[in-house]
Amino acid sequence: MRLAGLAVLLSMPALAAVTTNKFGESPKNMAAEIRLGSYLPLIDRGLETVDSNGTVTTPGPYAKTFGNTAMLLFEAEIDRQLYTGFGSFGIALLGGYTEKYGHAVDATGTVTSETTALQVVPLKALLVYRFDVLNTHWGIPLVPYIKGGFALDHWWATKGKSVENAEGLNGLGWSYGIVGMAGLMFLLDILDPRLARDFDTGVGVNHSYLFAEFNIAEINDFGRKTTNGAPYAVDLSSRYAMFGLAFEY
Amino acid sequence: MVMAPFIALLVLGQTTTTTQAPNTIVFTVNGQPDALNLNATSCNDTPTVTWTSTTTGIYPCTALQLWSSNGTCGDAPASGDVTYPQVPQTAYATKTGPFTVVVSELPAFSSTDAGYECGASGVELKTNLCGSVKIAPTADCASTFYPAQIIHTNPFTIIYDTKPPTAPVLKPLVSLDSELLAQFTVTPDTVTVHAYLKGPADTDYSEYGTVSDTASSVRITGLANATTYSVYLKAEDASGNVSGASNIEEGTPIETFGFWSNYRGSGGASQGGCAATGFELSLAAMLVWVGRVVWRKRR
Repeated sequence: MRLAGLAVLLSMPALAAVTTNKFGESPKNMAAEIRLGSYLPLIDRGLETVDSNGTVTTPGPYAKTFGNTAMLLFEAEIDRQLYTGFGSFGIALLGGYTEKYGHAVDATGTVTSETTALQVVPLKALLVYRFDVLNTHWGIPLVPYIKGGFALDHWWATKGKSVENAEGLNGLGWSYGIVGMAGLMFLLDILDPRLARDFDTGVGVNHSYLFAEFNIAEINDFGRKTTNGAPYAVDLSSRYAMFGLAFEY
Repeated sequence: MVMAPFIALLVLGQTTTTTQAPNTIVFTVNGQPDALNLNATSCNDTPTVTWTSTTTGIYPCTALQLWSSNGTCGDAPASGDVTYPQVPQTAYATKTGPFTVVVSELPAFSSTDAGYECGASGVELKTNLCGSVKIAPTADCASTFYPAQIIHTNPFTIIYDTKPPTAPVLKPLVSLDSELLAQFTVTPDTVTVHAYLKGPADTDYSEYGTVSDTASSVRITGLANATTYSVYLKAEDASGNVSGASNIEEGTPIETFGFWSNYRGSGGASQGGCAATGFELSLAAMLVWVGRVVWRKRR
């Protein structure tokens, strides 16, 4: 029901708008972002043993294989701005890639020369609101924003040169869930307004930003568990920061 | 005084040096440029060499001369070089043609040179295949404004090699799950590495497979864990000479547990697999829909 309402909202052509400013800025209704961040999935949540003091006594599979070190996550995002006025509102599609390599262990737990890896391709559909009023009304070169939506992550685990098989099951699949982000963008145009105008005139990029954001992702099939309480999905939830470049055009 | 010839050229409206397309004649054998590798079994061979001119807009002023030489290729055959039938000017217009080289008659086997006979073992002899033709940019080969010039073929070497490469050096085998990784070093003349394997039930070694010299290892798969295997390697050069055996190494594949095994072993209940559930498909469809809206042409 909520999804249907959202679809109607996004389909309303009356909301679609193109802005130009008084200085002859080119039309803009899109944004693109590239970002990097340190991503530590909460795969071990529910799979590690913790004592009464909260100390992990038996590490989960991620810590056991890769240590508690994060993955380097790269993502790219395209936004379509459906409304611009008091801030901008739009929808976005985001795709990324991350991987982590470690070494397999033998039956005694000794580390072997065999490599093993977890690779993840996160896909997200987001609603985006950018509060650019600070800049457009008061000239403050900061744009706070929030995003939220659904995530569908494809993951696969390899050992050696191929997807690992354990207990007759291939180590690849999907995990889904919800994500929310809050961030702050710094308008780079103020550093060299003439160059920014040339960038707009030449290639149609109206504004460039540096940004930092905090992500909360719950990607665990909405917490679905088996009857014995084990997580049903590979839990790719995380809390992490991302940094990147954004362009409005 | 210095300017006089230049002024004369300006008056004539042209210069004595003209810009031409690169003048090139290329030899190939079975489509392969640059070199032909032979060994002791090639002595009775008569490989067909194809010459091809890649030059356009030129006129041959002489026949195309073809020869083989132990020395560098000059404008014409030198004493001791072996010549092949010339290509007349009329035939040169086809821009390509074949000629036959008799391996046993190459200058490398001339008694006046190194004195080796074809079939000699443990030697590496090189013969250059040469060609030249005088060409002009117009039909007037005597023109002073468009002077004719001699062009040569690209370098092509016939290599008679009966010297086997040095045997590879095999490093200790790396034990993997149902696999052994054989890492090695080889000398630069190696083009292929052969791996030989013997299991506990085998009476002798059998060839497992080959890899290119650019690989630094052979991955031997499909083995039984906890079973000891013996491995050695041989190197092969471009002429097909095979080295002696490398050192023999033994290795035992072991069962290993990667991330997915650790996940399942820790109680993770994901079933994996490619099949997506209905909800996952719905989400995928939503992603596609959002993508369509995002990518829709700007208005």
